Amino acid sequence: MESERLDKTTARSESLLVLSAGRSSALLWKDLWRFRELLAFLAWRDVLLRYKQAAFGIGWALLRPVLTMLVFTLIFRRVVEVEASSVPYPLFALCGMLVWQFFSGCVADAAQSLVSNTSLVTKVFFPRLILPASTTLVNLLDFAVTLALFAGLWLFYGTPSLGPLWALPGVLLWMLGLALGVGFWLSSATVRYRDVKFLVPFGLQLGLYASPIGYPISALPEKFRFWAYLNPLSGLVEGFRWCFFGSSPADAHGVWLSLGVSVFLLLSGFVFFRKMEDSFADII
Amino acid sequence: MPTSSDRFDVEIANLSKLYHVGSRDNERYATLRGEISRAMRTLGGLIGRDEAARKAGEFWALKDVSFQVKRGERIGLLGHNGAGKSTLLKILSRITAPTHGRIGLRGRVASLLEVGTGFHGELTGRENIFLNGALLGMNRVEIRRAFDQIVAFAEVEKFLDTPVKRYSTGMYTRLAFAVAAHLEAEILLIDEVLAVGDVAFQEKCLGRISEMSASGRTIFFVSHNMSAIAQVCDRGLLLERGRLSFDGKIHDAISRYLESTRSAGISREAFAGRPLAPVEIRLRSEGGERLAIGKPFEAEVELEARQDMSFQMAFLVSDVMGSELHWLYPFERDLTLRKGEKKRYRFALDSLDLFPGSYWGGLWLGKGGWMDEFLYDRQLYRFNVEDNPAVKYFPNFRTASVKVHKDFRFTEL
Repeated sequence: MESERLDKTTARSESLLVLSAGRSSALLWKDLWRFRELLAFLAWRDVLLRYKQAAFGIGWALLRPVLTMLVFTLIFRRVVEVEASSVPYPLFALCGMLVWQFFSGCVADAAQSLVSNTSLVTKVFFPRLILPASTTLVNLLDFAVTLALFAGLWLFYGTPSLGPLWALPGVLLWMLGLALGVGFWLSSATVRYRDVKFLVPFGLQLGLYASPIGYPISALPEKFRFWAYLNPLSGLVEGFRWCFFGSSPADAHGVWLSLGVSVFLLLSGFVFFRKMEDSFADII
Repeated sequence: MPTSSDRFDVEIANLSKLYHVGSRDNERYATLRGEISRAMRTLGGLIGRDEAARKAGEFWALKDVSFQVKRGERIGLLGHNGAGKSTLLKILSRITAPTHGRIGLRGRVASLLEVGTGFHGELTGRENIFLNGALLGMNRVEIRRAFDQIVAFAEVEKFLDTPVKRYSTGMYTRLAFAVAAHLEAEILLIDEVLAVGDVAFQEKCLGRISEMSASGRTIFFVSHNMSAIAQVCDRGLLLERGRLSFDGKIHDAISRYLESTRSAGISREAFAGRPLAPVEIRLRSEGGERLAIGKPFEAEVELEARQDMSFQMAFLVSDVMGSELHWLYPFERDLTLRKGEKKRYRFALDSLDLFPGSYWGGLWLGKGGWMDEFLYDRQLYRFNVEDNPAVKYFPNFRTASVKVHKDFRFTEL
């Protein structure tokens, strides 16, 4: 039995693996394929651990967006008097929260993903990209919970008009790509500069108000819109609102700009991460 | 270079690995402020000095190492702390990249570098088997196939659905080793896995390692336990300061290694970059440095802290083969040192219970929690114990089990 099994594995891996300084990049796709299940295993571990010993359990995934939605309804609707669109404001805000919660969750988790798994990075080999990527999977679960909440609210408001739902997969893909890109940047930067740990929560606090989560871009003065669209979340959130409510974005060119910034972040994040990867175990 | 259909599983050519130790990487990771202030200094025209400081902090963990290994060979890696054994294994397992040189590997590599890496206390035994297996590169099908064997080997059937934080250390270690020991791989890297666990378990691990090597796997084995190495390996590589100084039969390699250790004191280089390190160890008996069975014994250890530390300490006695015999461990004492502070500590016994012969003094520095170690070195200081006519004993009666002494006096000096 033992030797039979070995024969099979040797037959499978007879090819010579060559390692030398700076050559590991060529092996990435092969390694990712071999360790593809680890991605799911790590995500599964984090889901198991996330709500363990929390009395309210998975309920937190529901409570957080609901509370923020209520706060937004109070601030933006009653105090600042934002006129959102034809859509009931709570529904409008929850759509933004859907994206924001996923994005901020991914960013916060991904930034810590390498550093909080130091023992893995220094003691076992696997493609390090898996660590920030698995945090994205975990947050996708919370996203699904919030999405169900959103659907419930939509029914509650008597099913307002729907947008082109068929485009939703595309927008979801955009959201995933953006979260991954920022995650790659921040996780590898944290290995070298622990300062990132302090910058991330601060940046996220600002980001919630700098992004059109509680208000539409159209509520901004015309001259600020270009700058607003440099924030990739602006176009992304408008994309979601277009899918759900059929509301056209304030500026279609701006959405493309946001998409461009997102693609740039994803590609550059990937390249930066790969460049840093070889030294992770030595400097973490 | 041999090409197709050659029988080499591992080919290593001119392998070197450079680490930066000293001022800059003392903190091991940079901060933005540090980077900025260095950039300012560079701008200020101090490039030359900074460059010199960087050069001084360079440390070749491996230098021009070349060798080839055939399928099924069992290699014992020997050398002092800091000689490059662990670095070599880390490069072979692809955890870290070489600075120069080339490695060819034929087949899957599995490493048992640290037992229990990736185990999570909140997860159950069953969950940890799957997670750990995946971390070591197995897929679900392979893990399921080996699952029963792993559980049987670890003897944890009844506790499979209990979180491992409720496991005893022994159960935890057995389970962790069992997962790693059932990997499907052609090249196995084993680093000090036998350092943990009781004697019966160590025997079981050695048995499993021999079994794996008998089925044709190539094995790299690092251990301070020379009898374990002699039992498992047939070829020995001796590393000295990053260079390969001997490559031959395992028994020759072991005697070369033991010879080279005879005069070894404490080398500061070996502990470069550690937060807490020994500076000096001195052993004494009444009125001199000659130690004898039944006579009083004193070990004075001087430690230096490179950052504020809180820790516990044990003085270890091992036999020449590296098997631990005694721990002098005041486990009720939490010690503290400030950054840059040096302090001496004394372990005193009224009567040294060691038979005449050669032994190693070692140190363990940790925080109490298992695997929370700053230093665990069994072979820091070599010493001899002489006969004492006043002591009558049966010379053939020797025991090799670990004893934890409680009846010694421990003083902070």
